[in-house]
Formats: sequence, C-alpha cells, structure tokens
Amino acid sequence: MIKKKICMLGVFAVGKTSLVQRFVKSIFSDKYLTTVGVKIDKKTLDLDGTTVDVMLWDLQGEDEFQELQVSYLRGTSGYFLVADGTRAFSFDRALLLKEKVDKVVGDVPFVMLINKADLTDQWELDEAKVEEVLAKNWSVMKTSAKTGENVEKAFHTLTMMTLEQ
Amino acid sequence: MALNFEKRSVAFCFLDQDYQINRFGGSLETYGLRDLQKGQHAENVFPFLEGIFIGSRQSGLMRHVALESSVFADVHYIFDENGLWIVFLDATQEVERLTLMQQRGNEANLLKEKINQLNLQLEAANSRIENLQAELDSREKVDCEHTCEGK
Repeated sequence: MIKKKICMLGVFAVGKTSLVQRFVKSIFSDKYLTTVGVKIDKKTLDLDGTTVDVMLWDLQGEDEFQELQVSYLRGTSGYFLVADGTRAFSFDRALLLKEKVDKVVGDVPFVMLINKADLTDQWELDEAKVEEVLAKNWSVMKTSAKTGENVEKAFHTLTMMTLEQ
Repeated sequence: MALNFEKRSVAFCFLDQDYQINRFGGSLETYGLRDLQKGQHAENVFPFLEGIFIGSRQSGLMRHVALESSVFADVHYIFDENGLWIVFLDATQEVERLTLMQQRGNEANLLKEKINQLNLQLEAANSRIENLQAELDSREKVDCEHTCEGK
C-alpha cells in the first residue's frame, strides 16, 4: 500500500480543517473552531488503479504568537498552502510560509488553495498577486469547503503530484 | 515533578531497527493503544509516526498530537543505537486550555481584521466624496463666473 503524508498549511481561520472535513467526511460547519496542535485524518484514494492511503496532517494555523512547528513536516510528501480569498493578508502570509517550508522539506509538491470561493462578493484578493504566483508555474486552485467546489479535485491533484515525484 | 509525570500518563514503546514493536509499557490505554503486540510494524499502529522513519535519525518532539481516543499527546521520538523510543505524555489539559485562549485570540484578530477592512472602505468612500465635493465646488465656481460675467 502506498502511503502519502500531506500537510495543510496556512494562517489561522483560512479553512484548513474545513477542507479536510469536506474531503474526508463530506461535512461542513460555518462555526469557526481553532485547531491546536495537529489532527491526522486518513482517506484511501483510487487514482487510475493505484490505491493510495493519504494521511492528512491538519496543522494549527500560524498567528502572531504561534509559529509553525517544523517537526510536523518531517517526511511530508506534499502540502497545501491555504489562503482565504476574503483576507488578502492570508495570501501574503502563505507566500512567507512557503519560503519557511522550502527550507525544511526542500522541493516537494504543493498546491496553493485560495479558499472561501463561495464568498467572492467579499473577495479581497488582488488578482495581480495571483497572476504573479501563476507565472511561477505554481498550481493554484480556488476552493470552497462550504460548497465543495474543487475540493476533491485539489486533493486528487496533489496526491497525483506526490506519486509523480 | 514526579506528581506532574503521574498526571501526564507516561507511556512508551520501543521499536527495533526495522521499526517493529519490541517493548512497550506505561499508560498506553490512555492513548487508545490497547492491542499492541511485539513484532507489529509501527507504521501500521502509529499514523502520527508517518514520516519519522524517512531520512535522518534525528530525535524530536511532536507537540499536541490528537489521537483517536480524543486525547492529545506530546510525542517524543528518541533514536538510539538499537532503535527508536516513542514516549507519550498526556497534553489534553494543556490543549484544552490553549484551545480556549487561541479561539478567543483568533476571534479577536478576525474582528480586528474586519474593522481594518471596514476602515479602509470608509476611507476610500470618504476620499471619493471629497473628490466629488471638490469637483462640484469647482463646477459651481465656473458656473458662478459665467453667470457673473453675464450680468
């Protein structure tokens, strides 16, 4: 059985836990509950006949007091860099986080998720910034844990990327 | 210190060089680990150790790991020449305390972000109003000049 460890990274309240819950349990709650430490979930995927056990590490979001604990990242096969489209600040912080993660895990596949796509009327993100990261050939997807938009696709895409690595 | 250790339900597991369970003891049931058997491969028993076996044999600590039994543990992994020691310390109370604080802190920060956003929108709206007012004043001035000239 192939196993892949995937970490969810991003500042607090961008929807990391909600994305995992949507993907693993097909549920969503509007109530914001902070994550402390790490919660690990598992989902088995069948990708073109290959069965993969995906271990999802939902890590506590960063804030001004709480920095990412790099020990959680050890042996990760890939990661999601999650930002909240309604909070431009979370996108900028995701870019900083990427630099930090690169130093620890090196060149592993990642996908940037701009979450809360169901709230485009409150969208605060500068599209020029998104264009900038797209120009770097980053894989970027707009997701909504609430509606499920692109959630399945995002997890499948990253898992495929880890298999190809 | 001794009392503190007692409260934290110490448990351990020793893995051999092939990462198979060799020895275990302590309050393992606290962590939902009831059916450990010698010879079991650790990867199949401890999902939170995923990745530890890859790369360097550097010891470390993973804080506040949520386990299936709804308990949080600080998981120490210590390599020695014969294998790997996994030591569990209960961190549930600490996580509960931190969760309360973190929740309040994050909610306050979200509120602050929202207020900043609204302030920026307000400033932008004010600036638009000022520009419109200036344009209006200037038009009135021109209109007045035309009217005055006419007289």
